[in-house]
Amino acid sequence: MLITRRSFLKGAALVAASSSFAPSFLARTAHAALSGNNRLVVIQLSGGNDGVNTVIPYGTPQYAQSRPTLAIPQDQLLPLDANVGLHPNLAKLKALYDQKAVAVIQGVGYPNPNRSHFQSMQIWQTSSPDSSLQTGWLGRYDEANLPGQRLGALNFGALLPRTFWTEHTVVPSIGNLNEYQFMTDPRAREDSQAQIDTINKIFNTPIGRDVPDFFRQAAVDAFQTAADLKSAVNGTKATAQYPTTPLGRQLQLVGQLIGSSLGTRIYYVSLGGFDTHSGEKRVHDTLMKTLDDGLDAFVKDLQAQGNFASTTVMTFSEFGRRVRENGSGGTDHGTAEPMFVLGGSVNGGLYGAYPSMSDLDVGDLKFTTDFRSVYSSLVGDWLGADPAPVVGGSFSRLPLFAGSALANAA
Amino acid sequence: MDTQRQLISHLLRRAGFGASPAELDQYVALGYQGTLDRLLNFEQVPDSYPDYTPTDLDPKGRPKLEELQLWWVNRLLTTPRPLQEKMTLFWHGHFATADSKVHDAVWMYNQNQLFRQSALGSFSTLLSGVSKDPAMMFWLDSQTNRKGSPNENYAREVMELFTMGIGNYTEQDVKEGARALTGWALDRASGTSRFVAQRFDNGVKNYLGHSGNLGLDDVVGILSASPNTANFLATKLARFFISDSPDPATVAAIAGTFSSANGDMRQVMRTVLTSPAFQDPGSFMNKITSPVEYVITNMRLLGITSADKAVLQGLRTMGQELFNPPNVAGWPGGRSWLNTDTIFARLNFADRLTSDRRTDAPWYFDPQAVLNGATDAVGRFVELLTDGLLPDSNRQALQDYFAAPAKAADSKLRGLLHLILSTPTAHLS
Repeated sequence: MLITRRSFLKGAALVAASSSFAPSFLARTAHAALSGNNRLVVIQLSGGNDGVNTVIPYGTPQYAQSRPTLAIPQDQLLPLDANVGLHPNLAKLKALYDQKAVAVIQGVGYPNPNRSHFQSMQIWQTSSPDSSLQTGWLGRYDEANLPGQRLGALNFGALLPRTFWTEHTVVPSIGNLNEYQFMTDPRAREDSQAQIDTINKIFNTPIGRDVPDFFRQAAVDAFQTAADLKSAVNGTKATAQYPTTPLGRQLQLVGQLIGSSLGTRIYYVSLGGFDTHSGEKRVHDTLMKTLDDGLDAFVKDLQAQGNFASTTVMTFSEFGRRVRENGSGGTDHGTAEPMFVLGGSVNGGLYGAYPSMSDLDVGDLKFTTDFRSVYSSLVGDWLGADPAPVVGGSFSRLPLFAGSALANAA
Repeated sequence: MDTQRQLISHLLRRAGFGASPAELDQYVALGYQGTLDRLLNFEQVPDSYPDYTPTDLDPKGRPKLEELQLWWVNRLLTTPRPLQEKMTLFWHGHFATADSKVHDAVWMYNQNQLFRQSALGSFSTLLSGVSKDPAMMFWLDSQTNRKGSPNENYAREVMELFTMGIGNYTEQDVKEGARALTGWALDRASGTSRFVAQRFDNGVKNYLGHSGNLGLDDVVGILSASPNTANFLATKLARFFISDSPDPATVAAIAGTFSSANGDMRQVMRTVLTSPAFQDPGSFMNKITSPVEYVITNMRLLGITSADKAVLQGLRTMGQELFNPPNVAGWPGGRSWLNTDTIFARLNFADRLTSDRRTDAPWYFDPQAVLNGATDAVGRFVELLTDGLLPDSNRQALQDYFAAPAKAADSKLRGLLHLILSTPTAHLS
């Protein structure tokens, strides 16, 4: 039996197995029961994914009317119900949906939508539409809930997204595992230890100046996490088959690390190229296939490992795109978008309402679900922490997980 | 190193890519003002670097980007006009265009030449050129922006990222601006742009408080003259050349010059490089270098004049692939250059550079030549690579390392250089 902070705060009927009703203890018990080793994998779709051609409102006549060249014919898409269907290249995701492992959340956005890539991405990454929060939402989660865990959260790529900005800790980033170590002269092996000792001495001696000490601290983190990774990954092998796309390679490494003894709770990968102002069809078709193939390989890997039930994947983009296609076979920056949340413990199905295709906000969809509701569900009902400080306020949750439905119904 | 030499070395690091001891001797003889004049009036310095002519083609006959990337890297390594190249890099990051979409090395080269030729010219002339530049047009879909079917991509980014900054225009300005920018076509075969009257929306537009049958030249003029543009550019220049968090007075002074000099970048850059904040000794070796600055400066200081693909690979893993910024906002810079992955990329680049003993490798250098007869190797290398501004504790650790017995003197010198290039100070300018 589970209880969430939300239902407690609302003063709803309490359902608890514990004999104690002390509020803080209750909350903590519930969190512990929820969290365990639950993992969250975030896939950032950079550039503004065309949500209207991802989760397609084919039952609305305005769809085909707004998209004379980009509308996907009804006989090609993959219907979820009588009104909406998935892009034809998301066939493997559709199969998972049919197995109730995918939550499709429609019309996700926030008030006063910003159509700038960078501002809107920052809003999603900081969970702060009014820009009052400077740190990232998962950085705040990491700092408050995974203290002392150097590899509690992990980014993949050469640029650390703002999602992981924190006040004090540094979330590590990995590009290539083989290069994630301090290398020394291959022709002077006898000198290697002396070099390693010297650089360790240098990095472990504070300089007393802000800027060089920032480099120094990042280097200390790099060395320590490299040692942690080495001992965790030692002996494990990536055996599952993945596509050779950049997303496939990143997910392969995530799969390998999930299968190791690392205990990382948050993984973050990115897929770019979604800014389809022109010639959208070819580009978006390819991206949908890349996403579908990558997710499929990842899910199969996790299932083979027995880790699918303890892993949840979330996809998001900085915004969706304009309903009406432009004159260049593309779409301009828009607002609300669909999100996918999938995993072995997810309550699959359609969530939220598809925004009206006729009642638009200067050509764009009006959001129906605040993205902070999705974040709150993930933090509260999956990661087992108090969502309010992570997400920046209290938001209603969606019953995305077994157990969360109970809490929500209460 | 005395403070005057440190000051001029600082100028060369920030306004260029560092100077070898011999070059620095010449600049010190010119003094700060003389050096500044020479940097700013770069046309007076001969530059015989050859034009880019593609020879390395892919199976479809298209020039490979790597050849162009190497062309620029080698130019950076050898340029006698450091500020012209530094400004070219600045404009590349400012008007960030990526070959990942353009897929045409020649167009990327032509844009690079536009940045180089307009490096210190008038901002409005540069903005006009960029707005009609084929690589930029294709990157932000300008060629598809036509009367009756506008494409807002360039209209939005030109205000948000290239001139005024966000918050200084409305969504309606984006739409009206897109209409004003219609009419420009791109000829893929010849790689040129031209105005096609039938594609131009010649109705009245209401744009940023201006009204009329506005076109591209009007948009360029309105944006270039905006005080918001002066502030936006001044902030970006101060962040690039002075400090990740510049003080408001410094930014205001730069913006003031931008406005009073009508965007004459030569005058603007004189203000930047003579500002008290720039010349403050507290700012020496106190700003995180970009990967290009880290790689090019240290290679120049070691006397290396050519690069191969290992350098391109290094830049990529450090997070700065030339001609491929991550998106239209360019590289965010500052502390974002550093995370655990890019730290290893930097240190491992230094390892590969210093341990390569193949004398025919383009980046080969002889540590003995760098030592140049000096008896105190640690002192010599620390002065060369950090202007002598390495913390004493780090210097002591290096001396302990170097004093320990070695199997081969050559390897010890290489190891020492690798370690110095791994210190925090070596990643600053």
